[in-house]
Amino acid sequence: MSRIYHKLAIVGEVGAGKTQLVHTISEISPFVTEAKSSVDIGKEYTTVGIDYGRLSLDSDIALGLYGLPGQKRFQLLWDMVKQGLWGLLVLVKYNDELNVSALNDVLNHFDPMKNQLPLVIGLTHSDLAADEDQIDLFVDILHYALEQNGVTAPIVCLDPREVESSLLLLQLFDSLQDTVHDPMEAHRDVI
Amino acid sequence: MLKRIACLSSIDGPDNNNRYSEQVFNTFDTARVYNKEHDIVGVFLVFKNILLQVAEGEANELAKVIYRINRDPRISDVSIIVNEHIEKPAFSRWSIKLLSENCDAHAQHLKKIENLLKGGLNLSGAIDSIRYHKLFNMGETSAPTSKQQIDSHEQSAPFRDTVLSMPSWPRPTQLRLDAALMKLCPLLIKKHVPYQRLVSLNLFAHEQELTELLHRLQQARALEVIAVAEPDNLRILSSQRENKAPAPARGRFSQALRSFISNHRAKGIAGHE
Ligand SMILES: Nc1nc2c(ncn2[C@@H]2O[C@H](COP(=O)(O)OP(=O)(O)O)[C@@H](O)[C@H]2O)c(=O)[nH]1
Ligand SMILES: [Mg+2]
Repeated sequence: MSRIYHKLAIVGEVGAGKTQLVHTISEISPFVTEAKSSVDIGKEYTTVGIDYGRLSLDSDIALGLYGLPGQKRFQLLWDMVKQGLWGLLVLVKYNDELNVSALNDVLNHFDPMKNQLPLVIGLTHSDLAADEDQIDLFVDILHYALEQNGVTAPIVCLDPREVESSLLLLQLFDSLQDTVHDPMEAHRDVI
Repeated sequence: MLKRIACLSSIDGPDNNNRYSEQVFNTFDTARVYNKEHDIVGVFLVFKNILLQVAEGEANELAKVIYRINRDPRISDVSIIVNEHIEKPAFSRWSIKLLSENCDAHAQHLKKIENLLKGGLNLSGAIDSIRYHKLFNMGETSAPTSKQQIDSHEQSAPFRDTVLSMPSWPRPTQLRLDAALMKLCPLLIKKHVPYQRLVSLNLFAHEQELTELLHRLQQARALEVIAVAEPDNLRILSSQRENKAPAPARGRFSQALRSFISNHRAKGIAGHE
C-alpha cells in the first residue's frame, strides 16, 4: 500500500492561533514516527516561518499541518504548500475589526471554489466575546466578506487550545471531502 | 405584568393539502424574529392546517402579537382561546413543533401543553372545538384504514415531496455543527435535492433522524424547503437512483482519520487522558 500524505494549510493573522492549533493536533498524534528526514520534522518550513506539524494516523498515513502567516507579502510561503491541499483553514481572530482585505487576499490566492478545495473559516477567541450577539455581528461581517468573494464555507467557532474543538474541525474537513465525489453530484441541477 | 395567550388559526394553503407549506415557515419566521426582539417565549404548534400559537410575555407586547396575528394574510379564522395572567413563563424560548401522528415524542409534548392551557381555556365556538380537539387528540386515532395510513405517512415525513437546499452554512451561533449535520450539510449546500433522494442515501439509521436534522436546520434558517407541484416526477427520479451503485468506498485516509477521532474520544471518555 502506498504512503498517503495530505496537507492542511492554516492561514491567519498574528495571534489567530495557528501555532497553537498545529501544536494541539500534532500532540494528539496516535502514531509517533521518528523523524527520518528534514521533511519529516518540517525543518525546511520552520526555518522560513511556517508552523509545521503532523498528525500521523498510521505508519504510512499522515496529515501535514502548515501554519502560514496571513499577509499577502508572505504569498511565496503560501505557494510552498498550495499544491494538492486536502483543506484550507482560515483562522480569524474574533475582535472588533475584521481585516477584510487580508481575507480577500487569501481567498483570491487559494481560490478554493475553482480548485475544489475544502474551506473552513475558524473563528478563534470567540470565548472572549461579551455575548453571542457580538459574535453574531462579527459573523455577519465575515459572511458578507465571503459572499463578496463568491465563496460558500462553514464558519465555525474554534478554540485551538482544545482537543475536542480541533477534532471537530478535522471531522468537518473530512465531511467536506465528500463533495468531491459526491453521490448527489450527477443530479446537481435537478431543478 | 406577565400574560399567556393561546391563539388558534387556520393556515391558508394554496390547495389546502396536508403538507407543511412554505406558508408555515414564513409565518413562523416572522414570529420568530419579532418575538425574540420583544422577549416573547412560547411555541408554534402546527398540525395539518391548524396552527396553535402559545405566547408568554409582557401584556403590552402580547397585545401587539394578537394584533399582528389578526393581520397575518397567511392565516384565517383567528381565535384567542386562552388569555390569562401568569406568575412566570412556562417556556424558556420560542420554538416550533410540526406535529405528526403516531409520534410518541409529539404526543408527550402535546400532553404538557394541553395541561398548561387547561385552566384558562375558553373555546367559544364549534370551529374552535373541532380544531382544538383535532390538534390535541391527533395521537389517539382509532385503528387506521388504509387511506388514513397513507395520510399519516405523509405527516410523519413532513418534507415529502419537497426539494431541499441550503443557500449557506448555518451560523455558528445558531447551530453548532455536530457529526450528523456534517454528514448532511455538504450534500445540501448550494444544491437542490429532493427529499426522497436524501432518504434513499440512508445517511441515518432512521428517517426520523433525517427529518429532525432538517427541522433543526430550518429553525436555524439555513434550509430552503421548496414544495414541488409534481411529486410523481420526483418519485421516479428517486427510484431510479436507488438502482444506482452506492457511493464510492471511503479512502484509506478518511477511514484512518475517522477511526482515530472516535478512538481518541473513547479514550477521553474512559478517562485515560
Ligand atoms: N482565549 C483564547 N486564546 C486563544 C485562542 N486561540 C489561540 N489562543 C491563544 O492566543 C495566543 C496566540 O496564539 P498563536 O497560536 O501563537 O497565534 P499565531 O500567531 O496564529 O501562531 C496563544 O497564547 C494561544 O494559546 C482562543 O480561541 N481563545
Ligand atoms: Mg505563531
